[in-house]
Amino acid sequence: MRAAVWLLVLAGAFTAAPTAAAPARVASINLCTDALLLELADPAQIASVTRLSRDPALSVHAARARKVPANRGSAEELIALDPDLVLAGAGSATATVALLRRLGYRVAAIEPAATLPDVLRSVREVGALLGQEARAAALAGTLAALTGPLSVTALDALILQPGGYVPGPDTLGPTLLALAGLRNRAPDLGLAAGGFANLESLVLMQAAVIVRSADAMHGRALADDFIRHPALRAARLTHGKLRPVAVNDAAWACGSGALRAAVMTLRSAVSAP
Amino acid sequence: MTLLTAHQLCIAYAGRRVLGPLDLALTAGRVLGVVGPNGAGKSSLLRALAGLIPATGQCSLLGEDAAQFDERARARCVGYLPQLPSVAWPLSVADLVALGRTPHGGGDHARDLAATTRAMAALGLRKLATRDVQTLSGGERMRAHLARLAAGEHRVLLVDEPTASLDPRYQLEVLGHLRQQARAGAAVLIVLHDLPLAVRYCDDLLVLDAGAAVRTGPSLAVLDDALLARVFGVRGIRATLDGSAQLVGIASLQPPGEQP
Amino acid sequence: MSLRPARIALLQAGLLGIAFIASLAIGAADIPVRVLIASFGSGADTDVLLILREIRLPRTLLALAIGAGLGASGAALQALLRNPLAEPGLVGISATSALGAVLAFYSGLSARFALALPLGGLVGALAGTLLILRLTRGSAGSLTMILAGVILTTFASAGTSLVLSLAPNPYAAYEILFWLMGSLADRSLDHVLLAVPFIAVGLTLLLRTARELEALALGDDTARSLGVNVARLRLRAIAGTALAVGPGVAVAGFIGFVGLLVPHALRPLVGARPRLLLPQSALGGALLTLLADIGCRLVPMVGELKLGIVTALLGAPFFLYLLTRERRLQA
Repeated sequence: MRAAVWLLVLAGAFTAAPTAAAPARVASINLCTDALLLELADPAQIASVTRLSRDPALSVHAARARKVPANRGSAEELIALDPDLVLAGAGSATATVALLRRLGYRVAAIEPAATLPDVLRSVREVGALLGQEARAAALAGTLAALTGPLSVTALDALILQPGGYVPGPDTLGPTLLALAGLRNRAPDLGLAAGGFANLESLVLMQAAVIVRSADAMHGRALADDFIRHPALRAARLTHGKLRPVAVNDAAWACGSGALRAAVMTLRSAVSAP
Repeated sequence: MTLLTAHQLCIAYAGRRVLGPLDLALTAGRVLGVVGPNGAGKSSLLRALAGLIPATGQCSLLGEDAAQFDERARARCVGYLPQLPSVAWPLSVADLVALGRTPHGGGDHARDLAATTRAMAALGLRKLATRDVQTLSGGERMRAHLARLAAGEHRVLLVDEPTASLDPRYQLEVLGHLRQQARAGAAVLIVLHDLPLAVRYCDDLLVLDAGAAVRTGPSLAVLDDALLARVFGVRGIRATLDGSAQLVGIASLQPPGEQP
Repeated sequence: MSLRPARIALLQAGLLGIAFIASLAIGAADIPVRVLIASFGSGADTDVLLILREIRLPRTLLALAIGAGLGASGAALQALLRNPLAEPGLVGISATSALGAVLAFYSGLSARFALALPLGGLVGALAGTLLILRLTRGSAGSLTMILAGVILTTFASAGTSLVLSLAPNPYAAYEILFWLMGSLADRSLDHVLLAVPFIAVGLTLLLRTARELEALALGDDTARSLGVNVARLRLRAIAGTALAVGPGVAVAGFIGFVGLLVPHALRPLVGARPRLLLPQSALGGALLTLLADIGCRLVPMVGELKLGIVTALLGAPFFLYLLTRERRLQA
């Protein structure tokens, strides 16, 4: 208990915010900060999250998000809400952020996460801002535990998103594979920095596992056809490779606690026969 | 022998009577000229006889009710050449003439070829066979279209103003060819604007005015001064040719005595 | 003179054979030719054979079928509209096909009922063909026809963009380039089965109208006086065009100018008569489209060049040249 109090004081001393008290009402205008807010804050603290978080295709916390007022990320709505703190993604909605700051609102810009240390840092940062350091420490602990030794043997894998897109190191994709004990084959396709894979190279590649987006999106698009291409199906049937494993993109698109669920899903799917 | 008759032919368009009622007979070996002022319904008459527009009344072809003929059979019997015929894409003279054989179905190549060759020879087109029709002079082009008509070996020929936009020399050539077709056994109907030419090249004349038949009969007798004045607003200049007084020119209506 | 078309046809067929083999040999993965040949002999279903059968063969077959459909319908439209500048892309039929296909696809209809996709393209093509005939009725001028084509294309393309913007799936908005610029990348045998039967029926219809289309050179009235049922001929040509174009657009997007380039290139060689030009244009269209598709694969870039871009780069300057030549002739 005392340690917690000390942590609180220390956190208050190191925070750049002018006030040390936990903010009563916090709004988020970014999908990823929505997730952090929903995971770490007391329900009473949440003033608003973006509309996007209500979509199960985009957020694993959709059910929770529906109980909270939604915003479209516009300054007008935020002013009407009059929050004590606004969480935004660093580098996005810069005009809105600048406007809000000019009007005197407190806006924290959280950097998007590309590695596990990034995620841990975001979690702790938001926890401190919300005055929820304890919760943040616990969440960070479970995430950090993911890096322990694994019992599975390393398999070759590749993440394929709709349209054949392979996410690069600017996303959590490679981290996801590493945490699940899978060897990322993207560099062998010349896609170390991410990009679109071509079908032929995929068929020739001896990867065991394809990590593909779960069918969460509403409606159809041509992008869906890539994953379903008969060539990939045939490769699986006749050569036993390119086994598809579905993981919800929403779980690892953002650096939040949801990453753990994605890693566990992947691990169990891979170790299953 | 009567090849085509029309009895009480009427043409209506959008509820308005355009032509008729009209009786008409086309005889093998004779040329019938149809004359009249603009808007008299000459082209409509032609198109009705060709089966292109609907008309009421009875029509017979080769002694049979025209309604009994299907499109192909009628097309084999009746040939039609519209005013100022044109070709939509580059076509050689030989190909154009060959189109005249379409009603015959294309089954008998030898016969088609023979008819096409004969038609081209009759109109002096042998040397122009491979030329693009669109590059020919007006007179040559008209000959090519007439050859198309001739290649069809139709018993009845319906020709709309074949002399339009042609030099005088070619006008005579064209009408001479059509008269020859008649003499060879066809029944020919020609719509004409030029009255002296009509008298000279047609055996009979039908005068139309405002959709009604004004008079019909032998060409030498039909166009008297009274009719010329009433229908065309002109008077005739006559001269004696081949022993009979023929219409050789027209002049404006003036009080007698003044210079034309 | 009668031998020449036969020789041209043989030449085209020969080139087609070579292009066919080249198309199977060229792809995103650099597979040496001897490996390709070896994969046939081994008997086992190797990865290479898989690539050939599931990836390269479908796109080759589609290029041939779609190209033949575009070439033949171009020649047919030129006879029907009595204008040498007519072709499915320019007069708006390809654009309306795309709209029909997009409606069938993004509404989820084709997910439940696969044939809805080519049928959507077919309905779109029918609508476009009927509209262009109505808009150009009576007037054979190029200006009217091109304007009508612009109207149809603009409206249909805007409609396509609208459907894509309103589609529930967020990826849809990025797919406009496929529909407007066409591509055969990653098409599968499923797509072949969806489109090729329709195109085959359409081609057959068009080839059978070729003989009677000839009479249209003299105008509707004269053609009718020659015993041709022009109304029925028109309907068959419309149906043939819609079948030959619509389903192809539904699986490959808008590919333009093939129906313009091919008949024009072949006219000096085989003449303008539909009976010869139509089948030759089918061959030429297949050849041009396949060569263009091979070209798309050869351009060194990330991803692949869109097929419609290649045909547009070839076709648009040629179209401009034709237009100025026609204006000069008229002046």
